Order: sequence, then C-alpha cells, then structure tokens
Amino acid sequence: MRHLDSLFIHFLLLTAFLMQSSLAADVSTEWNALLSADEHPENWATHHGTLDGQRFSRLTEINKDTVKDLKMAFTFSVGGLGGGGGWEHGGLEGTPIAEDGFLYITDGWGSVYKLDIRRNGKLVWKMDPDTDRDWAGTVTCCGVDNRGVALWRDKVISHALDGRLIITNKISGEIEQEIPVADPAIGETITAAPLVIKDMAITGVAGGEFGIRGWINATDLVDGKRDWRFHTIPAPGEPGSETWKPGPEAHSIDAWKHGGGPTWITGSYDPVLNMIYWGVGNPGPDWDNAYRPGDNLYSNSVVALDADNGKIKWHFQYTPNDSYDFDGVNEQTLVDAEIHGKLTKAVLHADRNGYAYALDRTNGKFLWGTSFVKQMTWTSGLDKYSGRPNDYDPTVDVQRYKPGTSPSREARESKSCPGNMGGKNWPPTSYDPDRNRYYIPVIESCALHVNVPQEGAWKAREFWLGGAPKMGPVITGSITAMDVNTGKVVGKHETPYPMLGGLLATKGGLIFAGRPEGKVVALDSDTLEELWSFDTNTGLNAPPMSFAVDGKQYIAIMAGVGGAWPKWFIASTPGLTEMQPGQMLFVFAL
Amino acid sequence: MALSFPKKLNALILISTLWFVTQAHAVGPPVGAEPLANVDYGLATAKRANCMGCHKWHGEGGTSYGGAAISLRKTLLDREQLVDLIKCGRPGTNMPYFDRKAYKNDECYGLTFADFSDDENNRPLQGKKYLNDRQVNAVVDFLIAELQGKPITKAYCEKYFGGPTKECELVEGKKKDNDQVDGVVFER
Repeated sequence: MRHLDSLFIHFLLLTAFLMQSSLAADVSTEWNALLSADEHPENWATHHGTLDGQRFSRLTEINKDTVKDLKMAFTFSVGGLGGGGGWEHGGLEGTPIAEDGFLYITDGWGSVYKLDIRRNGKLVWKMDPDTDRDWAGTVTCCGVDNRGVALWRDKVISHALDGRLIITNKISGEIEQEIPVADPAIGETITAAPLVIKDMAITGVAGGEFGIRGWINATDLVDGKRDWRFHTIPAPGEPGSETWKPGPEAHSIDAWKHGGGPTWITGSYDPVLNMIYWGVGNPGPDWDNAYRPGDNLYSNSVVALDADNGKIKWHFQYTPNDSYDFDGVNEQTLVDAEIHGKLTKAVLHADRNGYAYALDRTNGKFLWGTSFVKQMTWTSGLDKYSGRPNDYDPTVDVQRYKPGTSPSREARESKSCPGNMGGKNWPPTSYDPDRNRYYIPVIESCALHVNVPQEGAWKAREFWLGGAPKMGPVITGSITAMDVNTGKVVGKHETPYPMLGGLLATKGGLIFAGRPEGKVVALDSDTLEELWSFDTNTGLNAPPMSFAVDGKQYIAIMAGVGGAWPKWFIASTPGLTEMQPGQMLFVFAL
Repeated sequence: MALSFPKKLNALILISTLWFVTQAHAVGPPVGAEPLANVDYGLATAKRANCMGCHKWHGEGGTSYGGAAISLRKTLLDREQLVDLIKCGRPGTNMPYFDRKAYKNDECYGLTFADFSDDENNRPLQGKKYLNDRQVNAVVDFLIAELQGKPITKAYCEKYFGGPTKECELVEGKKKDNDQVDGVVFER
C-alpha cells in the first residue's frame, strides 16, 4: 500500500512537471514570434505592434461597416496614481502588449499587470518594482510615465523610472533579476518601453533636460550583462565630435559632456539589414545654443545602428544646433513602399519641428520632407536634396533660422510655430500599408521661447535648460494623413485639443485615437470622417492598440492624464484645465 | 470696460516695476508678518496647485518647462502682494492666476480679459486649479513660514517629501543660485 502511495505521488509529480513544462513552452515568446508578428495579428507582440514600428493591426472584424456597433467590453482600474518627487500623480502613456489572451500593461511607476482577457480582464498578477519615487520623480522632466513592456521567452521585460531593467517571470509575476541601467544621480531616468532584439533588451534613456549625455544600451538578457552602449553625443576624437565646438564660458568648453541627446522613445528594427533605428532628442542646454556652437550631433537625429555591436551605420539630423527644444526622439517607422513611384526601403519620421521625413533606410539618404502643421514659421522649408532646413546657415556655428523665431543671447524672447511641444510629440504615428498612408497625431501650436544664458556650470539633478518656453497662444490639434509616395498632406481632421495619445491604423480601414478630453474616436482611413466615438471622460494620453482572442477583435487604450501637459502646458488648452487624473484601461469589442 | 492700449501698457509697466522693485536684492522676511496658522495646509495646497512645479520643491525657482521662476526664498513681496500675485498672476509671464474671478472684473491690475483679446502672447494664464481665499492665504502662510528669507534645510526637505528620502541627503551644503533669472521678464 505504501508502495502504491509512493507510485501515485510520483505520478502526480510527473504530471505536474509535464504540465508546467507544457505551460512554460506555451508562454515562451521566441524571437521568431517577434519577427513574424505581422502574421499573428491576434497578438500585439512588441511595443509598436511589429518591429518595423508601423502600429498597423491586420485584424478586420472591426471595420468601417461594423465599427458603429463597437461597445465597451470591460475596464480595468490601474494603480500608480500616487505622486512622488515633484509630481502629484502618475500618468498612463503605455501601449499594452497582447499575447495568447493575456494583456501586459504598466502604470507610470513601472508596476506591471498581467490581465486575463478570457476572464474579462481579471488580474493574474501584479509586479510592483517599488520604484524610488522621490529620487526618480525629482529628475523626470515630463511626467511619471512608463510606456510598456517587452516579452522574451518566459519573461516580461520592463523598466522602472529609477533606472532599472527588470526581468519578471511571465507565469508567476516574480522578479527574477533587476539590472541598473540608468542613474538618477546624474539625471538619468527611463520611461521608454524596452525593445527586445534577439536575446538583447534595448533601452533608451531620458534626461535631456538635466544635462545627461545620452545613450542607447543593449543588455544581454541571458547573463544580464551589457552587450553594448552607443553614446549619442560623441566624445572628442569620435566621428561627429567636430560638431561640438567650445562654448564661450570656461564650463562650456566641454559642452558635449552634458550635451543631452536622450533616447526616450522606443526604436524600430529591420531584420534583413540587422539595423536598429532610434530617434535622438534635444541637445542641452535646450534654449541656449550659443553654449554649444556647432551642429551638435547626434542630437535631433535618427541613428541607424548595427544591432550586433551598436556601431553607427548612418545618421540624419533634423534640426542642427536646435534652440527650440524640437527634439528628434520620436519613433521611426520602417516601410517598404512606393516613394516617388519606386519601391523603397524607407524610414518615416514626424518630428517636433513640424516636418515629416522619408529617408532611404539603407543609407540615410533624404527622399522627401513636408510640413504637416498648419503654421510653420521657423524655416521656409527643407532643401530638396539634403533635407536641411532652408534657413540653416552653414557659415555660422550658432543657428538663428528665421529671424524672431529662435531665442538667443542677443534676442532673448522669440516665437515659433510649431512651439517646443511640436508639431508632434512622442505619441506615435501609424502607417497603413494598404493605402501607403502615414497618419500623424498633431499638436497645432505656436509658442514663445525665452533664452536665459547658461551662466552656471552643470549641477547634478538640476534642470539644464538655458531658458524656457513661455505660454500664451492657444494650442489645438489634428490627425493628419500623408501620402507616402508623394510626401504630400492629403487630409487633416482637426481637433479642439492637441493630440497627446497616438494613433492606431487597422486593416478594417479605421484610424483609432484617444483625445486628451477623454474621447476615443474611430476615423475612416480614407476620408478621416469620424465614424464612432466613446467618451471616457478621462484624459487620454496613450496610444490605442488591437488584438484578438478566440477570433474576437478588441481595441484597448489606457486612460490617465499625466505627463508634461497638465503640469507645464495646461494654460495653452483652457478647456482641459479641470480634467481630473484617473487610471483606467478601456477595452472595446463588437 | 476694456482699457485702451496705453492704459493696458501702463498697467503692465506698473506690474513689472513693482515686481522688480520688490525682488531686488531680497535678503530676509518681511517685517510684521501675520500669525501663520495654516502652514501645513498651505504646503499641501501649493503642491496641488503646482506652485512647486515651477518654483521647485526647494522654492528657489530657476528654469524649468514652466518658465524661469523667481526664488520664493529671496522675494521681498509682502503678504498682501503675495496674495494679489497668486490671485491675479502676472500677465505677460508664465505666472498664472488662481482666482476664479480674476480678469472677469477689473480687480486684477485694472485689467480684464477683453484687454488681451488681440494679444495672445501676453494674456493671463489660468492656473492648474482655482484657489479660494482660504487656500490662497494658507499658501502665503506657508511661503512666509517656510521659504521667505530662509535657507534650504534638510528638515524642510523632509517636510516637503513627507519623510526622509535620498533627495534630502543631498541638501546639506546645497546652494541654489537663482541669479541667472535676474532681468528676465517671465518669472513666475
């Protein structure tokens, strides 16, 4: 009898082991799954949906004919509303990741939530990284934000604002490893979602307003060690260092050391070329370009890196020697598309400076550049061959662009259109390959700038701005459509407020968007006519995404106003002043 | 009734003149400060109203996305002037108004919204939330009791953050320098 008991126990243990092994195999996210994400639209496998960054869902159940019947399926109340540092509350800017009926979402402080869609969004587990809120929150320029996770094998990969890369077990929700990547002691924080390439996690850093020297970092997820790190501001002697000339003060001679160039938006990847494409943000100090004479590479640029070693293959700079805080960090969208009638491997980008760009992604060659905003004043256009701003002066080291638009030590106040928030800020674009159209969430803005010469030397954890924006003009928005073949604007759906949440294009012929006053909308991809809307009455500051479970298509969007707008720019959008913070996931289905 | 342009110009010049006179070389608290009963409530209100978003947790101001804010530790504004400033803001700068009635009548510098109808660059900016008289007075209590004329201390830091934090370990010996904003016309 005892022998039988023993056999039975062994049988149970073996069964449990096999079940666990089977379960682990089922939930493993292999590299091939990310490479072929477009063939499995039921999942949203990586931050931008697919590694090319298109944010295009190939699901069609929800389409132009059926969208009128779209209803709320369920909600989930997300935590992370508490404050820290200088912030009264966190915000939700994340894109959920969907895999095999589960959603992975984050709150602003980096907690990860796994939800079971088959059980209407019931929580499976929550991982709280116990972020050092005051330490990190005091040096985050623009909100308590976390834009999402990545999946790798049976792990969930995420960031915390205080600089950690966190590896969590996908089944149990237990933290398996925490790897310090960024250091808030020198103004570095992390808000971007990681990008998994093969067995690496690629991390971008924030802190351009605190005088960091930016980087893109690859961590080997197998052993937790650094694979490579690419510094976005070259050191003396490196290519590009000649664009950092000595400034006028003793402490600005080595301006490159605190030259900014943050990388806080997740990039894209081309597996054929094995190249990573990543946007690089503003130089610092932001509004005092006399402090840092020269073009200030690779600030305000896209860099194409060899994924295996982080070596730069090519770059393209959008706004040399920027004094507008135009940044350049926005996402890079890889398309194989007709451009000027020729099938081209291109990379698209909509910049804070108000121009959209198409480049040949094999070599960085400029193809077209077009203003996508209603008001453009800082330069008259882009050179049709080089893509440089027409008002760029190659004979000087400190750029002025159009008179009166650029703040300077000689003319401290100026006004530009677009203003420093854009154009288009971080909320992502989407690309519809069926229509060869590029859709941009636009901030239709003008704003003032003030230069305050950076007379003091850099201090750790202090703002490093050399000036500031000044509010005044009321700011609105639009969803703007561009034809990628011609590079022309072909439609503009105007909105009463700036678009602060990003877009989703679908094969059903729809564009989904969240607006900051709380309205989720679906537009006709061809006409930009509004076909459906839902009032969440909670500020929408995050991109929508789509997935399917058991053949049923869903649209999901995080709702929770946060980020820079409510704190710094709210006076430019008077109707949003009373918007209350909230933290909610909304999921819709037919 | 809307002011004519010269009247508005005079009002703006008066605002700026008063401001710079009262900011010049400020070194200590005003004489004859009122009893301060609402300091903790004032700090909580100041945080909710985003005062420290621009003036920073330490009150020394400096540049941020909110503008180039003046030092609340160096200001020589008296209690009445602080109350007026919070209620009315400073048109032409990033300092917003927090009184729900501001510029709907002419109690703020004799100006109304109509005076800015063709001047969006200098229009009064609305604060993140409205404050009533009790809240405004509490914020001023806090400013006078904790910031005006006082150095940054670890005790203040811990009070602001609600307890010991790594940030407050850096406070001792920390010297904030607000000189760089002198002469700039958009301080909060």
